[in-house]
Amino acid sequence: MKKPVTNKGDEGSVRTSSGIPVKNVYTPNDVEFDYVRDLGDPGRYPFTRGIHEEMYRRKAWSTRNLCGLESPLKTNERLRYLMREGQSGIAIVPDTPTQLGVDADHPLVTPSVGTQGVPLYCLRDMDELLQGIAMEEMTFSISVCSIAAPIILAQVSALARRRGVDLGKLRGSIQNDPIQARHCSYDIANPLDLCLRLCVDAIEYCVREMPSWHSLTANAYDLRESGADSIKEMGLALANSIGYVELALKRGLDIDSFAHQMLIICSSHMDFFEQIAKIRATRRIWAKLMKERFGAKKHQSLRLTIAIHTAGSSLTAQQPINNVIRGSIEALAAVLAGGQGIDLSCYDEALCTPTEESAMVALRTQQIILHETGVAKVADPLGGSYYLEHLTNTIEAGIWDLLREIDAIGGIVQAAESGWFKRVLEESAVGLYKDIDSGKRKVVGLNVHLIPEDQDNLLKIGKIHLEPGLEHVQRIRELKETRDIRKTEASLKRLYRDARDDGKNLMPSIIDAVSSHAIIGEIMGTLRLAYGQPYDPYEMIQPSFRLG
Amino acid sequence: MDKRRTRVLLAKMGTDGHDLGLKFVAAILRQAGMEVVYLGPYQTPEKVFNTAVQEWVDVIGIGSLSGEYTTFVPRLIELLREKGLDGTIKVVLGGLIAKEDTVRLRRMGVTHIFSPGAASQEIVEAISRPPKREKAGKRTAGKAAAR
Repeated sequence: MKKPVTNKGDEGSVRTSSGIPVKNVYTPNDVEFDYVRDLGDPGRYPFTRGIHEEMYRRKAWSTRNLCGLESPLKTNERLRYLMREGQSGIAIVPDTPTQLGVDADHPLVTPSVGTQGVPLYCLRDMDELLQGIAMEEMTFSISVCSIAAPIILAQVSALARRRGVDLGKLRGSIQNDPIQARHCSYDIANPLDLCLRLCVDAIEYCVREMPSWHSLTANAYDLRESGADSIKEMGLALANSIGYVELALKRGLDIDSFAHQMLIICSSHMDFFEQIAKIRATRRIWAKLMKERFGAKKHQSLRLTIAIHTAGSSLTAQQPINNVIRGSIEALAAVLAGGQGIDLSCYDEALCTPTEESAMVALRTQQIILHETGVAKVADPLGGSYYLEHLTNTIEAGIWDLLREIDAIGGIVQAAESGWFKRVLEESAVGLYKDIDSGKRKVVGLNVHLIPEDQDNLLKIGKIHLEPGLEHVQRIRELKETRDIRKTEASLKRLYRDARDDGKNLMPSIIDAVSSHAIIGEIMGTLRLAYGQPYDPYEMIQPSFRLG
Repeated sequence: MDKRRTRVLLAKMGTDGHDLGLKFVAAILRQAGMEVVYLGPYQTPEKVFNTAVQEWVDVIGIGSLSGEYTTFVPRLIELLREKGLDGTIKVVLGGLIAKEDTVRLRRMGVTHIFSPGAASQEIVEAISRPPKREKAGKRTAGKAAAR
């Protein structure tokens, strides 16, 4: 037998994108594992190799495309187009006023209405978005990465009720990850205790009323987009999840009643093996956390569903057609890692709101991987690779270190309040930038193999910025005039009263307000007032209704 | 006054919350020895203007990944012009800026527009250059007033 190859020279100087040193080659000497304890068959504890026994033979991952543009009706058209083309799930991104919980007719947000997502301000918007779509037959993921998540959940619930759909049959997810939102998505000065209360209210509500719904998606993806490396991306998302679990347990919920309703959405970036390793490591950690730390017993509590979005931040505005290649490689990694839902960033995303063509290419990429490459025929096909198992172990160890550090601070809520979370994320982000700027990390079209801007004809793209949906703003104004304002006002008064009472779950009164055609900004404003904050986070407008 | 370090205010206006790029810019400028007042996202033009005046900054750097700059940057420049500060405080813009808007924005008084992938060297050099356009500034102001 040949002797294992040894590494010479550049030890430690060649690293993965998260700074993990890598050797020239990996051999049996580099990796140690007990198969049953550390890997296990697919569908078995600790789920390193995947959460289903037959993985994609049983059911392919949910192919979907993040979608949200101009107006609910326009987005509905795009959704139906993608569904006709074989998309198996719906993924919706709301516009920035929705994410921030500010009304469309607010002077500062009007220019952004419907420009970077779909406006979902009220029940009518949700109804129009899902026009002609049977809610109980689809899984839908709503990427509302802010404190508005429980309000969007209320819109879904209120709409199902109005359509006579059994709430128990609804399958989908909201993000509902306020600590993450505070640091790298959308949040303007909302008190953390209000955010955390709403988060747990939504979990509790789903346990009771919407058992097949994922009440919480820890958003690792946006942590990555904000500069976190793989260890911090998964480590902070797990730490946030631990924080919410602890709050829910404090509320008196049983771990096995809600653990399966939590999932993680993460990024698939360009460093191929590292992506696969981090996802496998995360499943293993989740299983151990649930079993050993929280005493979960049910099989479904221990296995973590992971949704994967290919990395928007890996795309370049230069030579944009190259982004099709990036998306393909990242989606392939997501499949090899055993993800449950995958959506691709479209190739023109670094430049504009994705066009119909780019959305189609993103969908086709997944279908090509599924039908043509054969990689979905075998579960965890890379399992047992010396390198991949070594990397999985190394990333797992790094994540445990981070989790211990956060525990030592006193938990993730303390880490968020003290500024630790922000600092850790920023350090990581600046380091990443410096590596690209200095050319240490090579990005084709950006710092190597450039083409001058005026000769860069590698792809024609759509209009860079969409016009704001002023028509939609007008429709919201009209709704405010035509709805039964007494009913709306009464529902907001109730919400205000409930919000001032710590012992109340706010979901019923939010659903009531949504059903009475309250607009998202009115609901958020009412909650802010109840917590002693200004109605309008920009402090420019006053409520048009009375709460006293 | 001459040896004073260049002071730069960095902000995003409106609902555009993605400020990773702007944080990078802050890091670059600090490393180049400038003082950065980091206001971050979700600002109004009024807030940016007031802070710029209070903090005596030389440059206002606005980041924008959405189309909101077409509304808020002209408003910011109008505020500077009203106080006669458009020649003193330089306004620079970075992010996803549509080509068809750049001419108009420059004419309005935006001195530099950085596109995605601009090298840090380019940003530092452009920002540290003193406001050059006493006359140009007045001329555009005059044009705007005449309209």
